[in-house]
Amino acid sequence: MKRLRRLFFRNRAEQELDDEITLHLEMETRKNIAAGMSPREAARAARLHFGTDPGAVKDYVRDTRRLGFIETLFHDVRYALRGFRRTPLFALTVIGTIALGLGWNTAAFTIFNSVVLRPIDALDPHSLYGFGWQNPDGDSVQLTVSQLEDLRKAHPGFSAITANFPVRIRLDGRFAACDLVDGEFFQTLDINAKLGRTLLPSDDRSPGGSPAAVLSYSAWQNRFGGAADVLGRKLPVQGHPYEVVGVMPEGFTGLGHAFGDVWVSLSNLAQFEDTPNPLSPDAPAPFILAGRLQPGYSEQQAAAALTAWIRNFMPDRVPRATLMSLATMVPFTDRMFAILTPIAVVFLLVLLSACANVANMMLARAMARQREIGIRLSLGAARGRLIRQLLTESILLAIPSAAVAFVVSQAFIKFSLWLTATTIPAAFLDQATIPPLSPDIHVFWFMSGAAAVVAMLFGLAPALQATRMDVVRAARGDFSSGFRPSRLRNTLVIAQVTVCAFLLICSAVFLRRANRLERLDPGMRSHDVLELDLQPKSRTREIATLQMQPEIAILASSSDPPLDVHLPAIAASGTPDARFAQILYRYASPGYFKTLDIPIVRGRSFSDQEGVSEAAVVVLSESAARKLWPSEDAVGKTLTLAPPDVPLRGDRPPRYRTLQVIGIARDSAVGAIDNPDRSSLFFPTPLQDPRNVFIARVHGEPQHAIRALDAALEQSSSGSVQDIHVLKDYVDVGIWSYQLEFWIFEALGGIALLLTLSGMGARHGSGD
Amino acid sequence: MNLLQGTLDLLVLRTLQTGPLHGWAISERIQQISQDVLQVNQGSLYPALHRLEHQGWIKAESGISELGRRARFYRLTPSGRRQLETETADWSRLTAAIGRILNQA
Repeated sequence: MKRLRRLFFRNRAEQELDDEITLHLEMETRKNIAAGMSPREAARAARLHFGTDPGAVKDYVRDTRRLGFIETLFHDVRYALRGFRRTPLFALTVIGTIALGLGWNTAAFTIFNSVVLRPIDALDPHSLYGFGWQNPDGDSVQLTVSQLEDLRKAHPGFSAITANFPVRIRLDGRFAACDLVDGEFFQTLDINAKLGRTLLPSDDRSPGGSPAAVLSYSAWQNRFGGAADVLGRKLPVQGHPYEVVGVMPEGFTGLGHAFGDVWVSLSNLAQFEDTPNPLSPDAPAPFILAGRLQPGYSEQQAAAALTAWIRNFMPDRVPRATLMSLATMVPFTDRMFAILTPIAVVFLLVLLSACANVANMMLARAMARQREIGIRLSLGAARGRLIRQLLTESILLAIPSAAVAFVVSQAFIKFSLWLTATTIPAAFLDQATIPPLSPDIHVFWFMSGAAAVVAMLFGLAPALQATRMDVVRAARGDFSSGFRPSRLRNTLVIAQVTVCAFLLICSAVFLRRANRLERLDPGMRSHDVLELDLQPKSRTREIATLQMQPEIAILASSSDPPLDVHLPAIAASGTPDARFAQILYRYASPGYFKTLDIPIVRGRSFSDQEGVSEAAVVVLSESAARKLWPSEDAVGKTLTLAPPDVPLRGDRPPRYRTLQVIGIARDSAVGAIDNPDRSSLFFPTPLQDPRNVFIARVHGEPQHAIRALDAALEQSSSGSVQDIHVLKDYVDVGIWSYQLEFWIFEALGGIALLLTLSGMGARHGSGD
Repeated sequence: MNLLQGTLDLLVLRTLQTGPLHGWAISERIQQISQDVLQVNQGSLYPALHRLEHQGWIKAESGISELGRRARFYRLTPSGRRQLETETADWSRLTAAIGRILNQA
């Protein structure tokens, strides 16, 4: 209160101090006159005796009075603003520089925040967990439908448990994410619909499925134009008529990172799976399990409860339960941390570079103001006081910088979304799901925090440097020699150049990779080859339909897509006693090599008979042949798979341990186009194996063929098409991801370069 | 002779024990009593006065100076009196200790 009064009656306090000092000097003068001095001499002696300059005393008293803080702040702010008015270009350059550096970081943080930090739309998202079990040997455990039923009833460690099963569907010829959910799903999340209702337990219980469908807000907007009368409208999903019963609120994307456009009841599973009765008690339940933690339970307690529950079913090899938080779209795990740290460092480097730049400018300015600072120092201004003033200046610059940085970050985000949308290979545009990227309170705190740190960084060093001045020299009017900031400034410039070079090198690496990928010969035909992922509803009908189409030149199938896939590996050896080498393998139908234009350089490909009977024969790539039989012709040799005591494992283990090599295929990309190891094994599989994906070489324009095949398949077996892509798209999207990284680093490097150049310019211009 | 660091506060408090004084009178009194041995750096007197006032050991009140003008007179507060006692005691202990060392050496 007293301080406040002093603040408002500052002038009075100031006046009192003036009076006091005047009185003092006057009394001293009188004393001197009484001692016999002339009045003039007496006044001079009084002033001399007083010692320090009376103005400095006032300054000091003001500080000791410590009403200080607010008043000094006002004072410093006014002083700083006056300074900015005098040199607006300086202020604008600083604000622009920091805004650029901070803007990038805020943009990156906004994206990180939306994906990793922002809780999903649900009541108390932090008690939601996904879970599963792992066998002692690391395989994950799959429950049966009846076990799942028991689990839901028992809900060990959880107050509610729900199962969901994401599938990809097509709505009006475009891909959409559909989540099949049980009746407890929305109740577990405890979220209500924006329009209509969510799915209820009653939907799940109707045998043979329920036609109720719930739309996401964006699906409602994009596919129904946000129509108010959407409820009750028909929605054909996989050839079955559904009815829209609800629309979820904006921003609700479902559970985990699987985005949902449509939610339907899990009781409809039969429409999406080929097995005749996927919900019979003994059927596998390959669902994603999630639940809300029992109040008061810790993660460990819940995991223990889940482990105890599964012991009833698997008493001899008890699997261990693992939990994963579903509070945010992507959980912040150690792995995530490991991936994000280098990215964060790169972004921070740009910000630091901006800081260095501004610090440099501040130093240059401080040098220009040496005279002023020198005079104030020699007049007795406290160093701390001056530093505080310079820091106030920095903070005043940081606040508008943060505001501009926010605008910049929004522009960056808009621009990068636009860049993504325009450059992503068209076939993947449908699948690119973008989380809502609106800024929130986290972003605000990040910006404020970063701006404050930045202000300290660019303000403190120059403030310390500039005030480290030799008062004695300054008093003599020598304002320059005591002040040598050039070492600090050199260090700053060197750091900047290093950062800039580093970023540009990174971008060059990514560009090189993108270019190398583009130039890499995958060793297989890709521009007119389609990859068709079909629901195995009826393979014979699907094959008949496909083979009837005039667009199809050759049709083949394989256990895995030709590119962009993780292939399984197996230990193989040329002689039973020789060392085994891990080689990737795939199953290929007899037409595989011809469809992809992979020549058989020696021997032959599979015959139709070998395909159907899955005979004990194998085709090797040239690299595999060289690896297994370095000095001999491999054709006709016997290949041994895995040492005798090692079981053949995997999703689709080979049926034989010894196979006859019947042919050598020219090397082609194995799994990934940039995989340098091109050794692989091909085992025969029949064209109609329901686990295979189709690979078709087509006549004419591939996009036209896609539309024609899509239409034909929709007619003969509605809803069977999961995915159709030109093989080349997979090559392109691989290149694109490197290009994207190149652009990001190029932009970062460009900004850093700009900063460095302007920093050096400022350094040069200051006449250092 | 310049004042020892930190002793100015003690001297000011002691000087004010006899009654309220204004700034110049305080510095004069210190000089007089010390028989001109101690010179108060008057530039540091006013900061010290305001510091002591802020700590609540002295209180400023307006009075009329020898020149017939309004002036700030400083008066010792009860807490200032207590402070003076502690500081005096501290000072005696310190000087006694230093004296013993000097005498022995």
